[in-house]
Amino acid sequence: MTTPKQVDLKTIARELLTTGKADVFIGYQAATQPLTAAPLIIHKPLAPDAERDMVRKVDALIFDDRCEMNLVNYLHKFKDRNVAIVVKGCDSRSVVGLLQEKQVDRKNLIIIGAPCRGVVDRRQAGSEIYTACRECPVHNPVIADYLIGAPVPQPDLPEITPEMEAMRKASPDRRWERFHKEMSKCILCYACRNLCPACYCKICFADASKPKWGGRTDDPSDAMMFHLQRLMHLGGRCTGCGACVRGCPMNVDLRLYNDHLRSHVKQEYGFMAGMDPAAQPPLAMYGTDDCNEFIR
Amino acid sequence: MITKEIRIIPPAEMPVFVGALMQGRKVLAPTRNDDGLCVFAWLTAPEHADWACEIPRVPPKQAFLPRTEVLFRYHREKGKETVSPPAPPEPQVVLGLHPCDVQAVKVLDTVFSAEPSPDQPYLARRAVTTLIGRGFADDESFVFCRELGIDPMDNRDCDAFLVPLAAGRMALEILTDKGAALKQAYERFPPAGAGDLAAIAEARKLSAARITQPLDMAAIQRNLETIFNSDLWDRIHEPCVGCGACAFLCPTCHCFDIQEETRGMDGARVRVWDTCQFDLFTRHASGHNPRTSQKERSRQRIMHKFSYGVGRFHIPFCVGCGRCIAVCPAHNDVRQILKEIHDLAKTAKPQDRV
Repeated sequence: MTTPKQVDLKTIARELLTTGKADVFIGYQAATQPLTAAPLIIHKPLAPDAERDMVRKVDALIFDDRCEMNLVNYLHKFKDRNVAIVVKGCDSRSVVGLLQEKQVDRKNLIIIGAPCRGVVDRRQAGSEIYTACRECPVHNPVIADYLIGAPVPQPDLPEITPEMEAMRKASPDRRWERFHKEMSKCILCYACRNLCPACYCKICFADASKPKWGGRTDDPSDAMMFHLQRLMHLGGRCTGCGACVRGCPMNVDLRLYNDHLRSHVKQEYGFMAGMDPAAQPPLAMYGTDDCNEFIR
Repeated sequence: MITKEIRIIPPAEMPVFVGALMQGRKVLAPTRNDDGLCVFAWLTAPEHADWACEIPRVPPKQAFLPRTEVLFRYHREKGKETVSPPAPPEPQVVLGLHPCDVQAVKVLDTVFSAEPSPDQPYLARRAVTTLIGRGFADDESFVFCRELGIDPMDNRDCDAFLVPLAAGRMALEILTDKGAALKQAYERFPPAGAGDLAAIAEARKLSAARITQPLDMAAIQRNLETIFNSDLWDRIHEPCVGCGACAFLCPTCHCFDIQEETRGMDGARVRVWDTCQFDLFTRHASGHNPRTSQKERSRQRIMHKFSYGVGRFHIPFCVGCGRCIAVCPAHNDVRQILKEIHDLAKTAKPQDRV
């Protein structure tokens, strides 16, 4: 990969849209609520008054520590178009994941990398960043055509966080209690699934109705079934961007469960999801040296 | 509304009042969950009612439209089937409703009592419910009920109403017979004095003055009728991820699905919350889906709230609580959508009419 060119966000957006290199530009704008940014989807102008609209929207583009959404999720909406998209380090891994799984075509993508020190946790007073950001191993995009900021330093991280170590050592009763508590909060709105770039099944198992796979009642077992199945589908695919946690209206904390799966995949297969477009995801291939301790 | 009487409850006595309400009744009130998130939940202890909560994340609709409602249970044996109705609902109090949430209950009442098929499970729960509203002097950043003409100090449609006074004292206004039936819970508190009455009147006056120019909901409804085919919907749906957060946490959204929960030879037919934002909501048994994409689904949400509700029941299905703004993971703001609809309709072409 050649070194990405340093550019200004608004300049590159205007250039890509006016030259027609991009049909759609996906970035961020300030939202109406404090400490939040909303997605801003700008289309290539097809008429003079659309041009003015485009210029106005480009002027509203921002990138700062409010930009929490993983915009890669929107690539599924514009599959047949040339799309320019702003990605943070974590989001860039989702792009790589979609490239590996052949869900997007690299030649249709213009990737605007945004080095990021972490996004502000709008649920906390003050300027704390999200836990997923504190533990983020990829502050700089792993794939990009352009960069809209200088690369930021990558802090050293422990292999396993003290929090995860504590959970692994906890008694089954204690772990069950935590899982039950998190699942009891879930209202099955599916925001986590719908925000996840890796959740793109045309018909999700949760929406299967002939026959029905899972219930939708307030019994926590229904939420457990949904989340456990979703977790299994994300094994070796979840990049840890934290979109599911940030977007949950009920503050269900799925992070430790995803982190646990991710660290297992790293330990057993030496694989980190969304790092190298040419790599084969472990659950999509077979190797003679695969971990097989579970076969008795 | 004629106020029957007004009692003054000192802050330290609020748990006594709530505790008395809990005698023989279930009480749904604003409380904080383990994460500190403010929600409407069934109280297990009087001191759990949280008076610092303004618009609890989870609305009070669960009191009448539980997330899961058993319609009937059944048991099958060889050649024999028995069906049993659920237990009748117990008396309940919904405490501390913001006036916009009270208006939301009115929306639900209107829909679920509509002829020709009034909804029996809903009406049964509603009949055993006493509504105690609560006035608010300030609004959270996402609340826009004043723009819909809803005054956060208005006690209409409540059985009783709490007006916050200085130093955490609350004036309890008794407004209906259902409210007066709570006598045992409030008779120990002193009646309001002349100073309290003046303070209540002043709070109401200040609040009413802040409703300057409400949105013209009738005009918005008329405008919506002209833009069904507008390309506005192409833009509005784009950032929407199609989850159900806005609808599930909306105090007026009331669509449901009916499902079977079976175990062996026993089962229950239940209704659960559903939303027009889900693909499955309109998917036919044939597999055909008349709302093919998020565009149609996003349009349905706006149309149902601001056009169909007004057209059929003469009441908007939005009360301006702003929960959808607070919870939307894509940070969509319904106020901006309304403004766009308002501005665009002026240039809509007649052929867009439906």
